[in-house]
Amino acid sequence: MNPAAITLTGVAFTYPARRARAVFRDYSAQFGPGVHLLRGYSGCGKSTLLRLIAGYLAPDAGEVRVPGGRKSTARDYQVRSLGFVFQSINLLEGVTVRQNIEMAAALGGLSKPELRRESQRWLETLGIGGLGEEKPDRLSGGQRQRAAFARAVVKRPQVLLLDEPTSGLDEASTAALAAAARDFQRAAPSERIVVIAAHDERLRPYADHEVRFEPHGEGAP
Amino acid sequence: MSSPSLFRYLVRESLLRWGGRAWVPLARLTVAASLATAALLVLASFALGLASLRKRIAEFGLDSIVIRTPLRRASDPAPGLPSLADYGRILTLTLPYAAAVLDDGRQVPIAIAGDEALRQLAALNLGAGELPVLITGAMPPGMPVRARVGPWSVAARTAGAPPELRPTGMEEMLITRAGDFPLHAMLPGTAVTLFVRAPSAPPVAELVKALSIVFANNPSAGATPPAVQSALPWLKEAEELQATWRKYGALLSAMLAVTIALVFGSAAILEYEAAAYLTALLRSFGVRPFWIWFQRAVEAAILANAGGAAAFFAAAALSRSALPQAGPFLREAAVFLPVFAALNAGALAASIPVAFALRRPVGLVLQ
Repeated sequence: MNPAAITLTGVAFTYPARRARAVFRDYSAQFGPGVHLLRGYSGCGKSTLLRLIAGYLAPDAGEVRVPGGRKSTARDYQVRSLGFVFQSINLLEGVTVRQNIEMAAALGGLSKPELRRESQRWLETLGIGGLGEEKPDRLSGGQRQRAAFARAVVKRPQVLLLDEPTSGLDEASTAALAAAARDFQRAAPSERIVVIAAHDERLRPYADHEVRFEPHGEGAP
Repeated sequence: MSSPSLFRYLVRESLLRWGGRAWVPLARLTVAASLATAALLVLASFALGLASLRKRIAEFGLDSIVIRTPLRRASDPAPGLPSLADYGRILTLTLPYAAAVLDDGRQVPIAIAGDEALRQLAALNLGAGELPVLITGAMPPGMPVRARVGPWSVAARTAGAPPELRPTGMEEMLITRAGDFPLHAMLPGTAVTLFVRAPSAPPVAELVKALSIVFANNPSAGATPPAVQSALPWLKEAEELQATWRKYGALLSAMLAVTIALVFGSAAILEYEAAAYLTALLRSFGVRPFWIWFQRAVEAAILANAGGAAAFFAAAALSRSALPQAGPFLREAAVFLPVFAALNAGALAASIPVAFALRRPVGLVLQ
């Protein structure tokens, strides 16, 4: 087992509401440092896999280990070493973009000055440097997604998971986000693992590894 | 895992949620206030009833016994209670069925003091040597008054009612010597014997029991037996009232807590479900579910206590017009504490469904 990698061993998972359809049965895989693009048909379990890696779901059988040999459900991993960008709901309403970013990062243990510096740097890198004081409801879909990306990376997580991050985004936003994900990984190439679950063909040039995802669950066509 | 920014966010989120759908917290506040107002008024009524009984007991005195013996003639000797004198102080006044008329037209009962009573009255600083005395609270002490009974008239002076005479229940009376109104002493009357128990004497209950036995075994032919009065029936009434208060207070508090738990709980879970995605997102940052539960529990407690405070003022305003004597009792701990305890217990119970909802994995919410 590679201690710097994400390792899934014999994972089985079925959603409680859909007991008849297992998403995974005895699934094993490994994701080392680099940018991984997970591709597969809709409903094949890409998002579920990301949630298992994030520890937001616990497998029914098998285990999911993350860098350092920890279980994916370990709290310390979730708070400090994990960044997650969801497909749609990503930002907390009622607080500014900067507050969204800084709150998540503060929970991750960053000091206040460091947090200020990093959040501003990422907002500028992503082309939304002037939107820090805006509330999420005033942002476009692309801006929201970039803000969510900034929130996920500002605490410099070892594992960054992106679930359909560019769905519905224009070319410029997609390119900005994909480049930012790649650059983030390149900043610590032997440590950082970026896993992107997406249909979007436009992301292919930014990935180091492309995984055709077929977990052989009963839902597979 | 917590941070000031998290707390700021949680506070802001609560305010935004409440501001967005103000009817939800308002409905909870109104329910809490209405129920608490009713509970406060009921409990204050109990407190008022108990306080008035206690006041009556205090005025009568725990060690006092009053024996009223009907007399064919007011001049007849009062019944002999020789053994009772061993256990305390006795003062007997005879009240003929006649009244004296004062200059201002008011009628006051006449009380005739015998020699023994004169000695006792002397100890009360009434100036017993200068009888007749008009015991009254309506005029300042030491004022000269004239009292007429038929063609007779006497000069008296006023004196305040001494606490020792309170058990007789007479706020005003003209105390005279035997012989001041000789004809009226021939009228039927009542001998009022006031007994105050000495500290070393048997308890009042035993003395009352003994007196009852004596009077039952020595009936005067054709005469109404003496009536024995003490604070014991009021003490019993006070105990019963306290027991009823405890029982209904507990029932009322339980009903209040359950209703608050159900109403607040339903609203809380609806609110939670409406924002379940955002809550899950917050948890995905590493925020412990405990803090989110804590936020909802604090919200419920704030609304419940605000409702309680509103109820306090509403009950005070209502009691001013409907039950003025009950108003001051709202401030008694025994009245407001059970209500606030029930409100907070209900609010805490209302947050339990949220705690269960928070057990749902983030990944199942954010599908």
